[in-house]
Amino acid sequence: MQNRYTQIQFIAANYSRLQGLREVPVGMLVVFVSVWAMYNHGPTADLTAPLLATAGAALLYWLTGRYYDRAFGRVKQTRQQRNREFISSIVFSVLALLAFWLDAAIQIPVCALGSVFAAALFENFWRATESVRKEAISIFPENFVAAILILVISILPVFGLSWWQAFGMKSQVVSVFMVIGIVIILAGVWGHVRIVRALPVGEA
Amino acid sequence: MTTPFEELANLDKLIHEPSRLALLTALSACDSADFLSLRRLTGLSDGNLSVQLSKLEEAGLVNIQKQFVAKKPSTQIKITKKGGTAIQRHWEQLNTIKQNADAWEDNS
Repeated sequence: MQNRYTQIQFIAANYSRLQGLREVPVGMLVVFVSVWAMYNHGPTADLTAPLLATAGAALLYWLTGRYYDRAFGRVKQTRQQRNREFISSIVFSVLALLAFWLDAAIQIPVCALGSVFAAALFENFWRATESVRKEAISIFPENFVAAILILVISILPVFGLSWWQAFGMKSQVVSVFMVIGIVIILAGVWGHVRIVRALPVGEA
Repeated sequence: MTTPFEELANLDKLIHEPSRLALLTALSACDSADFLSLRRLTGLSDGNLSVQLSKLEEAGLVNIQKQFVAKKPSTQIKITKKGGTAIQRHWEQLNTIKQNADAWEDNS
Protein backbone atom coordinates (compact mmCIF):
# COMPACT_ATOMS: atom_id res chain seq x y z
CA MET A 1 0.00 0.00 0.00
CA GLN A 2 2.74 2.42 0.95
CA ASN A 3 4.41 2.09 -2.47
CA ARG A 4 1.39 3.53 -4.28
CA TYR A 5 1.21 6.50 -1.92
CA THR A 6 4.99 6.96 -2.03
CA GLN A 7 4.73 7.15 -5.80
CA ILE A 8 1.85 9.65 -5.63
CA GLN A 9 3.82 11.82 -3.21
CA PHE A 10 6.94 11.68 -5.37
CA ILE A 11 5.10 12.50 -8.60
CA ALA A 12 3.17 15.37 -6.98
CA ALA A 13 6.40 16.85 -5.60
CA ASN A 14 8.15 16.60 -8.98
CA TYR A 15 5.28 17.03 -11.41
CA SER A 16 7.00 19.43 -13.81
CA ARG A 17 10.38 17.75 -13.51
CA LEU A 18 8.93 14.41 -14.64
CA GLN A 19 7.34 15.87 -17.79
CA GLY A 20 10.17 14.62 -19.93
CA LEU A 21 9.05 15.84 -23.34
CA ARG A 22 9.85 19.40 -22.21
CA GLU A 23 13.53 18.42 -22.33
CA VAL A 24 13.44 17.10 -25.89
CA PRO A 25 13.63 20.54 -27.60
CA VAL A 26 16.49 21.44 -25.26
CA GLY A 27 18.35 18.27 -26.19
CA MET A 28 17.73 18.85 -29.89
CA LEU A 29 19.10 22.37 -29.59
CA VAL A 30 22.23 21.13 -27.83
CA VAL A 31 22.83 18.52 -30.55
CA PHE A 32 22.25 21.09 -33.29
CA VAL A 33 24.63 23.61 -31.74
CA SER A 34 27.26 20.89 -31.33
CA VAL A 35 27.02 19.89 -34.98
CA TRP A 36 27.07 23.54 -36.01
CA ALA A 37 30.15 24.17 -33.85
CA MET A 38 32.00 21.31 -35.57
CA TYR A 39 31.87 23.15 -38.89
CA ASN A 40 31.77 26.79 -37.85
CA HIS A 41 34.59 28.42 -35.90
CA GLY A 42 35.95 31.79 -35.03
CA PRO A 43 34.52 35.31 -34.58
CA THR A 44 33.27 35.51 -38.18
CA ALA A 45 30.97 32.48 -37.92
CA ASP A 46 27.40 33.15 -39.01
CA LEU A 47 25.11 32.77 -35.99
CA THR A 48 21.83 32.79 -37.93
CA ALA A 49 21.35 29.02 -37.77
CA PRO A 50 21.92 28.64 -34.02
CA LEU A 51 19.73 31.66 -33.29
CA LEU A 52 16.91 30.26 -35.41
CA ALA A 53 17.37 26.87 -33.75
CA THR A 54 17.14 28.52 -30.33
CA ALA A 55 13.90 30.24 -31.30
CA GLY A 56 12.53 26.96 -32.64
CA ALA A 57 13.50 25.12 -29.48
CA ALA A 58 11.87 27.80 -27.32
CA LEU A 59 8.66 27.48 -29.33
CA LEU A 60 8.68 23.68 -29.04
CA TYR A 61 9.38 23.97 -25.30
CA TRP A 62 6.35 26.23 -24.91
CA LEU A 63 4.16 23.91 -26.99
CA THR A 64 5.12 20.83 -24.97
CA GLY A 65 4.39 22.82 -21.82
CA ARG A 66 0.89 23.57 -23.10
CA TYR A 67 0.40 19.90 -23.98
CA TYR A 68 1.28 18.86 -20.44
CA ASP A 69 -0.92 21.54 -18.90
CA ARG A 70 -3.90 20.33 -20.93
CA ALA A 71 -3.25 16.59 -20.55
CA PHE A 72 -1.86 16.42 -17.02
CA GLY A 73 -2.85 19.64 -15.29
CA ARG A 74 -0.62 21.79 -13.12
CA VAL A 75 0.95 21.29 -9.75
CA LYS A 76 2.62 24.22 -8.05
CA GLN A 77 5.78 23.48 -6.08
CA THR A 78 6.21 24.60 -2.51
CA ARG A 79 8.19 27.79 -1.88
CA GLN A 80 10.99 25.73 -0.38
CA GLN A 81 11.23 23.57 -3.54
CA ARG A 82 11.24 26.64 -5.79
CA ASN A 83 13.94 28.34 -3.74
CA ARG A 84 16.18 25.28 -3.77
CA GLU A 85 15.73 24.91 -7.52
CA PHE A 86 16.59 28.57 -8.06
CA ILE A 87 19.74 28.37 -5.95
CA SER A 88 20.78 25.16 -7.66
CA SER A 89 20.33 26.64 -11.14
CA ILE A 90 22.43 29.70 -10.20
CA VAL A 91 25.22 27.62 -8.70
CA PHE A 92 25.42 25.24 -11.64
CA SER A 93 25.19 28.03 -14.20
CA VAL A 94 28.24 29.67 -12.63
CA LEU A 95 30.05 26.34 -12.45
CA ALA A 96 29.20 25.66 -16.09
CA LEU A 97 30.70 28.99 -17.17
CA LEU A 98 33.84 28.26 -15.20
CA ALA A 99 34.00 24.78 -16.68
CA PHE A 100 33.58 26.14 -20.20
CA TRP A 101 36.49 28.51 -19.59
CA LEU A 102 38.56 25.65 -18.19
CA ASP A 103 37.89 23.47 -21.23
CA ALA A 104 38.63 26.27 -23.65
CA ALA A 105 41.68 27.79 -21.93
CA ILE A 106 43.47 24.83 -20.37
CA GLN A 107 44.13 21.38 -21.73
CA ILE A 108 42.95 19.08 -18.99
CA PRO A 109 42.32 15.37 -19.52
CA VAL A 110 38.67 15.56 -18.40
CA CYS A 111 35.78 17.48 -19.89
CA ALA A 112 34.95 19.98 -17.13
CA LEU A 113 31.68 21.06 -18.72
CA GLY A 114 30.49 17.45 -18.99
CA SER A 115 31.48 16.83 -15.37
CA VAL A 116 29.53 19.86 -14.18
CA PHE A 117 26.51 18.77 -16.21
CA ALA A 118 26.71 15.28 -14.69
CA ALA A 119 26.92 16.83 -11.22
CA ALA A 120 23.87 19.01 -11.97
CA LEU A 121 21.89 15.98 -13.11
CA PHE A 122 22.89 14.07 -10.01
CA GLU A 123 22.02 16.98 -7.72
CA ASN A 124 18.62 17.21 -9.44
CA PHE A 125 18.14 13.48 -8.91
CA TRP A 126 19.16 13.72 -5.25
CA ARG A 127 16.86 16.65 -4.56
CA ALA A 128 13.91 15.06 -6.39
CA THR A 129 14.16 11.74 -4.53
CA GLU A 130 14.49 13.21 -1.04
CA SER A 131 11.27 11.57 0.15
CA VAL A 132 11.89 8.22 -1.57
CA ARG A 133 15.57 7.55 -0.82
CA LYS A 134 15.31 3.77 -0.60
CA GLU A 135 13.58 3.48 -3.97
CA ALA A 136 15.32 6.48 -5.57
CA ILE A 137 16.93 4.73 -8.53
CA SER A 138 13.89 2.61 -9.36
CA ILE A 139 11.48 5.53 -9.08
CA PHE A 140 13.52 8.10 -11.04
CA PRO A 141 16.12 6.18 -13.06
CA GLU A 142 16.54 8.40 -16.10
CA ASN A 143 18.33 11.26 -14.32
CA PHE A 144 20.63 8.89 -12.44
CA VAL A 145 21.56 6.91 -15.57
CA ALA A 146 22.10 10.09 -17.57
CA ALA A 147 24.37 11.53 -14.87
CA ILE A 148 26.50 8.39 -14.75
CA LEU A 149 26.76 8.18 -18.54
CA ILE A 150 27.83 11.80 -18.97
CA LEU A 151 30.30 11.57 -16.09
CA VAL A 152 31.89 8.47 -17.62
CA ILE A 153 32.38 10.00 -21.07
CA SER A 154 33.74 13.16 -19.46
CA ILE A 155 36.47 11.36 -17.53
CA LEU A 156 37.36 8.61 -20.04
CA PRO A 157 40.29 10.66 -21.41
CA VAL A 158 42.00 10.29 -18.01
CA PHE A 159 42.39 6.62 -18.88
CA GLY A 160 43.79 7.46 -22.30
CA LEU A 161 40.51 6.82 -24.12
CA SER A 162 39.88 9.54 -26.71
CA TRP A 163 36.52 8.02 -27.59
CA TRP A 164 35.39 10.96 -29.78
CA GLN A 165 38.11 10.22 -32.32
CA ALA A 166 36.49 6.85 -33.04
CA PHE A 167 33.51 8.82 -34.39
CA GLY A 168 35.70 11.06 -36.52
CA MET A 169 35.30 14.05 -34.21
CA LYS A 170 38.18 16.37 -33.41
CA SER A 171 36.92 18.22 -30.35
CA GLN A 172 36.33 16.51 -27.01
CA VAL A 173 34.12 19.32 -25.68
CA VAL A 174 31.89 19.40 -28.76
CA SER A 175 31.59 15.62 -28.67
CA VAL A 176 30.60 15.61 -25.00
CA PHE A 177 28.11 18.38 -25.69
CA MET A 178 26.57 16.31 -28.48
CA VAL A 179 26.27 13.29 -26.20
CA ILE A 180 24.68 15.49 -23.54
CA GLY A 181 22.07 16.57 -26.09
CA ILE A 182 21.32 12.99 -27.11
CA VAL A 183 21.11 11.88 -23.48
CA ILE A 184 18.73 14.75 -22.69
CA ILE A 185 16.45 13.66 -25.54
CA LEU A 186 16.48 9.99 -24.55
CA ALA A 187 16.01 10.73 -20.84
CA GLY A 188 13.15 13.06 -21.69
CA VAL A 189 11.34 10.47 -23.78
CA TRP A 190 11.96 7.81 -21.13
CA GLY A 191 10.61 10.12 -18.44
CA HIS A 192 7.50 10.89 -20.48
CA VAL A 193 6.73 7.21 -21.10
CA ARG A 194 7.13 6.53 -17.37
CA ILE A 195 4.83 9.32 -16.24
CA VAL A 196 2.17 8.34 -18.80
CA ARG A 197 2.27 4.77 -17.48
CA ALA A 198 2.37 5.88 -13.84
CA LEU A 199 -0.63 8.19 -14.02
CA PRO A 200 -3.93 6.40 -14.61
CA VAL A 201 -6.31 7.92 -17.16
CA GLY A 202 -9.24 7.70 -14.76
CA GLU A 203 -12.11 5.59 -13.54
CA ALA A 204 -14.52 4.19 -16.12
CA MET B 1 -2.30 -2.52 25.61
CA THR B 2 -4.00 -2.21 22.22
CA THR B 3 -3.39 -4.61 19.38
CA PRO B 4 -2.51 -3.42 15.88
CA PHE B 5 -6.04 -4.31 14.84
CA GLU B 6 -7.52 -2.00 17.46
CA GLU B 7 -5.09 0.75 16.44
CA LEU B 8 -6.23 0.34 12.84
CA ALA B 9 -9.86 0.62 13.87
CA ASN B 10 -9.09 3.88 15.70
CA LEU B 11 -7.63 5.61 12.64
CA ASP B 12 -9.37 8.72 11.35
CA LYS B 13 -11.74 7.29 8.76
CA LEU B 14 -12.11 10.59 6.96
CA ILE B 15 -8.42 10.58 6.12
CA HIS B 16 -7.91 6.83 5.86
CA GLU B 17 -10.35 6.31 2.98
CA PRO B 18 -7.98 5.41 0.08
CA SER B 19 -9.05 8.19 -2.31
CA ARG B 20 -8.85 10.88 0.35
CA LEU B 21 -5.58 9.49 1.67
CA ALA B 22 -4.15 9.70 -1.86
CA LEU B 23 -5.45 13.26 -2.28
CA LEU B 24 -4.02 14.51 0.98
CA THR B 25 -0.72 12.71 0.38
CA ALA B 26 -0.40 14.37 -3.03
CA LEU B 27 -1.40 17.81 -1.75
CA SER B 28 1.03 17.58 1.17
CA ALA B 29 3.90 17.30 -1.33
CA CYS B 30 3.14 20.52 -3.20
CA ASP B 31 1.86 24.07 -2.74
CA SER B 32 -1.32 23.50 -4.75
CA ALA B 33 -2.68 21.38 -7.57
CA ASP B 34 -5.43 21.83 -10.09
CA PHE B 35 -8.39 19.50 -10.57
CA LEU B 36 -6.93 17.78 -13.63
CA SER B 37 -3.61 16.95 -11.99
CA LEU B 38 -5.37 15.46 -8.96
CA ARG B 39 -7.55 13.41 -11.27
CA ARG B 40 -4.44 12.08 -13.05
CA LEU B 41 -2.60 11.43 -9.79
CA THR B 42 -5.43 9.50 -8.16
CA GLY B 43 -7.22 7.98 -11.15
CA LEU B 44 -10.60 9.11 -9.80
CA SER B 45 -13.49 10.14 -12.01
CA ASP B 46 -14.54 13.80 -12.08
CA GLY B 47 -17.61 13.12 -9.97
CA ASN B 48 -15.87 11.00 -7.37
CA LEU B 49 -13.00 13.49 -7.10
CA SER B 50 -15.43 16.36 -6.54
CA VAL B 51 -17.21 14.42 -3.81
CA GLN B 52 -13.98 13.52 -2.00
CA LEU B 53 -12.65 17.06 -2.22
CA SER B 54 -15.93 18.43 -0.86
CA LYS B 55 -15.68 16.16 2.16
CA LEU B 56 -12.12 17.25 2.78
CA GLU B 57 -13.08 20.90 2.41
CA GLU B 58 -15.99 20.50 4.85
CA ALA B 59 -13.53 19.07 7.38
CA GLY B 60 -11.20 22.03 6.87
CA LEU B 61 -8.39 19.91 5.46
CA VAL B 62 -8.22 21.53 2.01
CA ASN B 63 -9.09 24.87 0.42
CA ILE B 64 -10.74 24.90 -2.99
CA GLN B 65 -10.45 28.02 -5.11
CA LYS B 66 -12.31 28.42 -8.36
CA GLN B 67 -10.96 31.04 -10.69
CA PHE B 68 -10.62 31.90 -14.34
CA VAL B 69 -7.28 31.52 -16.08
CA ALA B 70 -7.20 32.90 -19.63
CA LYS B 71 -11.01 32.92 -19.61
CA LYS B 72 -11.14 29.23 -18.71
CA PRO B 73 -12.41 27.94 -15.36
CA SER B 74 -9.67 26.52 -13.16
CA THR B 75 -10.04 24.83 -9.79
CA GLN B 76 -7.00 25.05 -7.50
CA ILE B 77 -6.81 22.88 -4.43
CA LYS B 78 -4.47 23.53 -1.54
CA ILE B 79 -3.98 21.63 1.68
CA THR B 80 -4.62 23.66 4.83
CA LYS B 81 -2.32 23.78 7.84
CA LYS B 82 -4.80 21.54 9.65
CA GLY B 83 -4.75 19.14 6.69
CA GLY B 84 -0.96 19.08 6.54
CA THR B 85 -0.69 18.27 10.23
CA ALA B 86 -3.42 15.64 9.98
CA ILE B 87 -1.89 13.75 7.05
CA GLN B 88 1.56 13.83 8.58
CA ARG B 89 0.20 12.46 11.86
CA HIS B 90 -1.83 9.86 9.97
CA TRP B 91 1.23 8.50 8.17
CA GLU B 92 3.15 8.43 11.45
CA GLN B 93 0.33 6.42 12.98
CA LEU B 94 0.34 4.01 10.03
CA ASN B 95 4.10 3.50 10.31
CA THR B 96 3.77 2.90 14.05
CA ILE B 97 0.97 0.40 13.47
CA LYS B 98 3.10 -1.42 10.93
CA GLN B 99 6.02 -1.63 13.36
CA ASN B 100 3.72 -2.82 16.15
CA ALA B 101 2.14 -5.37 13.81
CA ASP B 102 5.55 -6.75 12.89
CA ALA B 103 6.50 -6.97 16.56
CA TRP B 104 3.12 -8.49 17.46
CA GLU B 105 3.56 -11.12 14.77
CA ASP B 106 7.05 -11.98 16.09
CA ASN B 107 5.77 -12.34 19.65
CA SER B 108 2.61 -14.32 18.88
